[in-house]
Amino acid sequence: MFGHYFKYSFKAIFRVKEVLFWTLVFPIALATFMHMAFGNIYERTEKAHAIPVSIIHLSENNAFDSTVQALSEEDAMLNIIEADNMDKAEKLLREGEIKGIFVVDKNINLTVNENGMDETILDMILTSYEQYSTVIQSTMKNNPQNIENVIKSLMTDKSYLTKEKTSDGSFDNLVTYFYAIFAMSCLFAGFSGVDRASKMQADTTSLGIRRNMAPNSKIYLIISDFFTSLIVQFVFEVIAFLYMKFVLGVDFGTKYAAMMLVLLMGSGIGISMGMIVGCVKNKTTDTKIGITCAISMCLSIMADLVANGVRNAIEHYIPIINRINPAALIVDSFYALNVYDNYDRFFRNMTLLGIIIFLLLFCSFLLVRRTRYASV
Amino acid sequence: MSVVVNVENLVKRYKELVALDHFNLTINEGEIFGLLGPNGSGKTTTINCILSLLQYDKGTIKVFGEEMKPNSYHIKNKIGVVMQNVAVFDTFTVYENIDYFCGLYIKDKTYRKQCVDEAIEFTGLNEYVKFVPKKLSGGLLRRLNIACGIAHKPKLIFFDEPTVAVDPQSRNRILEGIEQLNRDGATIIYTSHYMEEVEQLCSRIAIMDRGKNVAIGTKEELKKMIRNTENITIEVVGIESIDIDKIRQFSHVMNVLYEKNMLKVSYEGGKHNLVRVLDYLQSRQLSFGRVYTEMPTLNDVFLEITGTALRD
Repeated sequence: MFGHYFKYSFKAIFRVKEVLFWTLVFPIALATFMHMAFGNIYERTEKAHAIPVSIIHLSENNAFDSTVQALSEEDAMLNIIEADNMDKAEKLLREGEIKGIFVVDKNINLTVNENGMDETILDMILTSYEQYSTVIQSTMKNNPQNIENVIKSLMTDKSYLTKEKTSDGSFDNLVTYFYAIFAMSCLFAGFSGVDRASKMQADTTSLGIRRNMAPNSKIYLIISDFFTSLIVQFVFEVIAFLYMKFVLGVDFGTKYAAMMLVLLMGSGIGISMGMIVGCVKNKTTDTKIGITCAISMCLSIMADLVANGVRNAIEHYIPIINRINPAALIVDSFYALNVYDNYDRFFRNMTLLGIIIFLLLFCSFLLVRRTRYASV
Repeated sequence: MSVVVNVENLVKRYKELVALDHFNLTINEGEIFGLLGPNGSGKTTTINCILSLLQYDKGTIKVFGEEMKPNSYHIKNKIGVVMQNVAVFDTFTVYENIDYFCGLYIKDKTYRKQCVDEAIEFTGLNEYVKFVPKKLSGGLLRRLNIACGIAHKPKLIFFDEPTVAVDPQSRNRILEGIEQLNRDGATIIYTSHYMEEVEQLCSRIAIMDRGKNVAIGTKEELKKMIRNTENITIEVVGIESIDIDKIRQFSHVMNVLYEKNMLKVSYEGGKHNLVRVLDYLQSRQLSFGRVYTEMPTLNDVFLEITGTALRD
């Protein structure tokens, strides 16, 4: 019997164009547009890179030259752009080819064109150099026998923070938007759930009457409809994932198996949510689709689909909402996989999603089992 | 002959509206039973209550001798339903639709294929098996609707107004099919507000009005319940009201109507009624054309019992 249900449930899903659009085409299109709009924003704005700078010598300063040389080699903090004279350097600065000009004279001056992160870093480099230089000169003048210790001390980079690599994932904030697209497309699987559940309701469709007259328990219908929708939706999510990863080049990290589990659970939550909406009595299928769409959008917005930071704000003020918002759980699962090296937070989210899916399906079953309608 | 459906004292209310008012019904095995009534009389509500789709407020319903409940799967297995609205999947072909619904009842694939093929043959859909429903005409859609309801060879089949919006050719085919199903052993419950269909098809008929069973019996029994015994219709031009009043005073005349050159005289018993009317028209030198005389129809039965025309 299950084989029969499965076979036709698959056919039914694949032939509904609206469901195919919202669950497969739309997420891919949205991801493409998002990539086109913001694709390299992280590369451009946030990722550490060598700052282009020119140096104009009005007098010799070997110490500063050595410092700059070191900074342009190791980790390449600076990228020295040759400029023969001040005019040429200023032209490069105006054209944005360089971020600043170090003018080496008796003192060293920094010329910048705007206030940004790169300019701040250049200013910090200069300030540090001047502090070190002052300390060394002062020691040589007042306490020359201690100069070796002072230099040794200055060369030892002290930090009270330890840098620890937590995962191989991406720290690009934009990736969160792609997580939210997955969350949204998973919840849009609810349309499929509504369609399936409506066709079980005798008070909603004639098909529902005919299916209610079948000599089988509703649990057969619910489970077969759920699992076929789940498999199809999961395949769609994987297609979207592969597209984003290999075509758009989105860096999701390397924990693929766990990410597939998120997509599977996400698909499950979307379908079960749609099914319970579809099982609500005395509402037309169109109304139920509208309700599902509204719920999906609200939950997705709360999970950072539209603006980054909403989820964090909710986490700060009403964290329980993030524990029961499926979209937030999906986004957070991806985030946890990308950022943390352990799976504690990921498995907590998976457990919560599993519980919600079970509750929604169980409630759907209670709503439709042995139902006799007030009106048909 | 065993009782297939037994409804006792059934009451169904929709808030203030009483849809079924202490409704009683007994349907025997092998019958084609007609539920006749105007729109809103409670026919579909009755069927939905019998099928256990609808909650009812009072009464008992037994099907095949057992109380009908939503989980009475062994009873449901013997029931076929052809609903008023076409209930098929838009995205499946004709064959897939019939196979899907048949598969809800029959697990054995070989037997199911045989049943599906027979249903297709029975409804004459052989040429359309690969068509999706939206490519079918209204008549063909109705036939598909029937095929989906009967493919599993049910013992009891509900037809709820299956010929609504169907062309005459398809309607005849559907009615012939229902008769064939009955000859093959199925008990049929047929609802309609088309008098002629019910009269042609049904061995027993219940007339419903405002949720009540106002009359039940065979066609002949129903017709005996009313006073009207004969209806005479004569095409006559230029008859005056004084002549109509004269005819109205003939013995056994119940009613006289004159519309669009057609004189209609209803009789309550009496003999040689037609001859008397024609003699009178000749005596008044009124020329007449076509002449019909007929026994009362179910429409007359319904009109007299309920006081309203059926197709209101």
